Amino acid sequence: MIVPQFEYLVPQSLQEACALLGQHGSKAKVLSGGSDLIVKMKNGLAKPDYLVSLKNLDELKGVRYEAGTGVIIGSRTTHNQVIANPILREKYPSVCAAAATMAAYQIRNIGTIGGNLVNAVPSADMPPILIALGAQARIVGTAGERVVRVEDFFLGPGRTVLGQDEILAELVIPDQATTGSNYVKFGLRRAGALAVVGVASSVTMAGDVAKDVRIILGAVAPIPMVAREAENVLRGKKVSDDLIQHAGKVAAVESKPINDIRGSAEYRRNLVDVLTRRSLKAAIEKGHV
Amino acid sequence: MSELSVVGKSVPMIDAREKVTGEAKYVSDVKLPGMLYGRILRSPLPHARICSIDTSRAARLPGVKALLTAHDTPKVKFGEVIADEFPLAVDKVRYIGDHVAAVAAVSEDVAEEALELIEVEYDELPVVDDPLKAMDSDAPLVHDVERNIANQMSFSRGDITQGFREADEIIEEYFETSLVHQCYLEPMGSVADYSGGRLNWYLPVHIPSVMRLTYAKTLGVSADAIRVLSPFVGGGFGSKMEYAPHLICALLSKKAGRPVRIVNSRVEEFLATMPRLPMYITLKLGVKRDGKITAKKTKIIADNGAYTHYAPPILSTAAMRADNQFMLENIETEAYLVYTNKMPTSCFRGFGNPQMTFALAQGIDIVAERLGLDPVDVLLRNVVRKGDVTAHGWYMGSCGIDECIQRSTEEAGWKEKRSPRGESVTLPRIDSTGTNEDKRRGIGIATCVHVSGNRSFIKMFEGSSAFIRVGDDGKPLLFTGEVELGQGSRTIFAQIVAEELGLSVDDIRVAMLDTDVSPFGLGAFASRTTTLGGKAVVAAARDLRAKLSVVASDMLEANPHDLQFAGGAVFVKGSPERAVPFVAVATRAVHQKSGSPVIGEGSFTPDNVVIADPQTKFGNISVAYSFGAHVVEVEVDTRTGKVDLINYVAAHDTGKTINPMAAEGQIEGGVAQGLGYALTEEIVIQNGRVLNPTFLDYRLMTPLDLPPIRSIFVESDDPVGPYGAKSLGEPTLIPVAAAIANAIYNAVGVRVKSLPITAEKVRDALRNKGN
Repeated sequence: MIVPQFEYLVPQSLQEACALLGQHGSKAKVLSGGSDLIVKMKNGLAKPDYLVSLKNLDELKGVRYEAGTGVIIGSRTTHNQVIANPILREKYPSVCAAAATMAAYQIRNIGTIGGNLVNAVPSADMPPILIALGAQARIVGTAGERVVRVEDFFLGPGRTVLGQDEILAELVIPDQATTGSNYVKFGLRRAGALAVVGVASSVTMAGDVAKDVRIILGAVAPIPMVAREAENVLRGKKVSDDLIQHAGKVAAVESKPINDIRGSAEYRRNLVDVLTRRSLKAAIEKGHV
Repeated sequence: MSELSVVGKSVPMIDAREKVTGEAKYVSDVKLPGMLYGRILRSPLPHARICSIDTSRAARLPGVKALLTAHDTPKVKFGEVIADEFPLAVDKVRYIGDHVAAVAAVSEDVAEEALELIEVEYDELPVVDDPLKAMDSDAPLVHDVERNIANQMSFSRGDITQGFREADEIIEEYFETSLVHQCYLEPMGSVADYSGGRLNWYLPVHIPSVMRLTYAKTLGVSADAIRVLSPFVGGGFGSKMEYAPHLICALLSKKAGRPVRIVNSRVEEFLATMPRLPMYITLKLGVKRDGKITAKKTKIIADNGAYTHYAPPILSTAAMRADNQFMLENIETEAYLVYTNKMPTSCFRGFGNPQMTFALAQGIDIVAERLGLDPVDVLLRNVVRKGDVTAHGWYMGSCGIDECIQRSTEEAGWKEKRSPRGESVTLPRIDSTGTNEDKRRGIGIATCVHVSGNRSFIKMFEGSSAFIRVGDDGKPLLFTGEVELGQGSRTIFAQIVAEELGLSVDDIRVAMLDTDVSPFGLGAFASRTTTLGGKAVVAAARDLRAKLSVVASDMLEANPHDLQFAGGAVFVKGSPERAVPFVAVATRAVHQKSGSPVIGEGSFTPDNVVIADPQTKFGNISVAYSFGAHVVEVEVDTRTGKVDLINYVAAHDTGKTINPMAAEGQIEGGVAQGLGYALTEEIVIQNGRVLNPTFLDYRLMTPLDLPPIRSIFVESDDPVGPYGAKSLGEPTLIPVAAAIANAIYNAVGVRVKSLPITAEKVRDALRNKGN
């Protein structure tokens, strides 16, 4: 439980940070909140020779709104800052609520939204709701900036599209049209619990027709999973309890859960079914922006 | 005793400020000049022969000051009941985490690195980690003991055949309890300092005076060669007893000639300490139509783990203690303790009582339903009353179990909320996802009995002693043989001294235990500290008062027997205006004897307890028995099986509550710990390997998970206990899991008979029922 020796680097700009990452390659790791990385280092699961701290890069902090673009969340914004942010509370309370399901208060004070994505664990709580809202990731590297959908950000457990010299800079949630959204998490206690299953959905209604539907499942596949078949059950249809029920069943079938200490695969499928129904019902009835 | 001024009042813990500001010194804060850091090489295999250990590479690492293997340790097995463990494993390892070698080095880093350089060759042996399979005739043997049975017992009362013959209804049920950890905040450890031919040992443990004797024997030294000092202790809940790493620490210090500290990491806590015994219980009950229990037959198989600590008395507690809340006549019990390739198991709040109560209190609920009776009526039909002697020979000098049942059910709204199963109403509450139609509520009850000290546990004597020293500063300093582990004993004792001497709690200091100075005390187990320790403190304070009265009588020109001690002064009863300050009396007394402090001595030896018969287990083992009744309301999600806790009421017969605030803390802590036992906690082991050795997946309840907990004190005024007080620490946890199981059944009509009652198990049960 002792952190191994490493060199601590504190770049003053994003460009310098990317350059350092490019220079040290796989020997370097980015330190943001550290709530995942330092624990991994203590347990011998990560042994970086260099830690590149983002602590002086204030441009990666905070939330702002840009007309025509949407809500922009700096990757270093802590979970508790996400929860308390007035712009998010007004426009996307479902994002605040998802952040509030994470870890415990003290950890939410240091853990960041960017870290939650880059760490890329299958049970992460922020990716499903961000994907459901069509969020994009702004990535900065030595060669410049690029934008990818959060939906396309993950490659596998612990693996993302980020190159060796790249840093996740910002997340952008584009403007939505009358969309209700939420994230329903099933954890085995109310704090300090990883999701056994997490389901985020967003529904855009036109009268009683679901014009668009997104259903994203967490903790039931190697990466946050889009339940496409279940979305198709509802998309363009007049919503009804039967249809919602059917969508839950379909989501359960297409999910790919595993057995582990937090639940059997069979139980997880059952939870996907129940939680998808509950999430959809709430997204249809409540929280439209 | 007339009006009490300090006892019975909510006084903050006297060490609360030190603790919350971080000033309090725990063993991990002890840092002696030249101190080394010890680490233990642990077995990576659950069962294997040790072929060779090569420490030569580790010995060459700069900064390594001492290395130990079984070669260097005394070949004396230790173990309080069955001696079956060496300080370091000899020839064979028996669980993952077993102690193989140890190192002391100048820093934790170097010590850790040295462990990696120790080469051990193992020859793997077949593993048995299920106690039921361990009893098969062809199971691998953990020790050279037939069918791995470390200990067994059987006893009966009355006529079991006749008892079942008289019954109108008979039920037989099977229950399983889980492997759970005490999860004290402070991991186990010690600092050993061998110097001047003597071992000074900082040992945060339950029974320091007794462990000094045990360890002296294992180390082959006389007791006077060991001085044990008790630092602040960050909780114990039964766990901090004899432990091989303490001995390893001492042996490293002796070899290195320098002080050594070993403190466990949290992972080591989960791998290699002594959690609660899992038990596999078959319970058969016979009842008359009116609810009267006519027969109880029990078979228990308990998982000892790889070595024996206190599991045999824990098993005998499980086998009989819960019976004593009822007037039973016909009882038959057999119990087996079985070795497995898992960490050893031992004491944890309740000492076997929660395991059996999980079964028995559900048995009562089951028979009540069978008979169409309210379980409350079945309980009241069978419970003991003041003056009763139970089938096991326990004498109830005071008893408030009926009042606990009545007041807890009243407070919780039992009559209105307890609907016959299947008629639970749809709830008015709507949660964030609007799914109220899937939720059902239910309410359940469970009761318990427990001891206030156990004459049978440490057999040298029962009782306690204390002395109080007053110097010319006039501030009493109390020395007791009992131990503060966070339960609040120093505060309780300070209240008692203040009460008896007419002072305020702030005037009293309570020394930490030091075996060079303090009385020999049996220590903190069997919830004995307030009752027995408190009696000794009362006696010491009265002795001091008598001595000071002689001096004060001179000063006041009055008869010593006419004096009253109150408000920090001494005066003739009825004449408080002519008072002398307490401090002036003390100063005068000290000066009269050329500076010698005044010492009040006191001891208490109960005359109504016996060591239970080793075969039949019959006998009155405790000075006083305490009781509790818990009523809990739950809400069950019928789709996911998730159980939410709505409301909790815990009524306890404390005899007399000396500090209501501290007692509420005990209740809330015990209930929270019991709720984890009921719903979320379990050390999961597969092929001898712990799958969840961290707090992420060993799930303690968080404050957010807890319901409102209301404490009710029933004061039955025990004839023996100080001011009538009895035990409280352990009883607070004992009925929790059973109350939860009964409430879940009331809510959704399914009964999960294995702990923990996880959401998935509830969902499985609902599915099997056809929901």
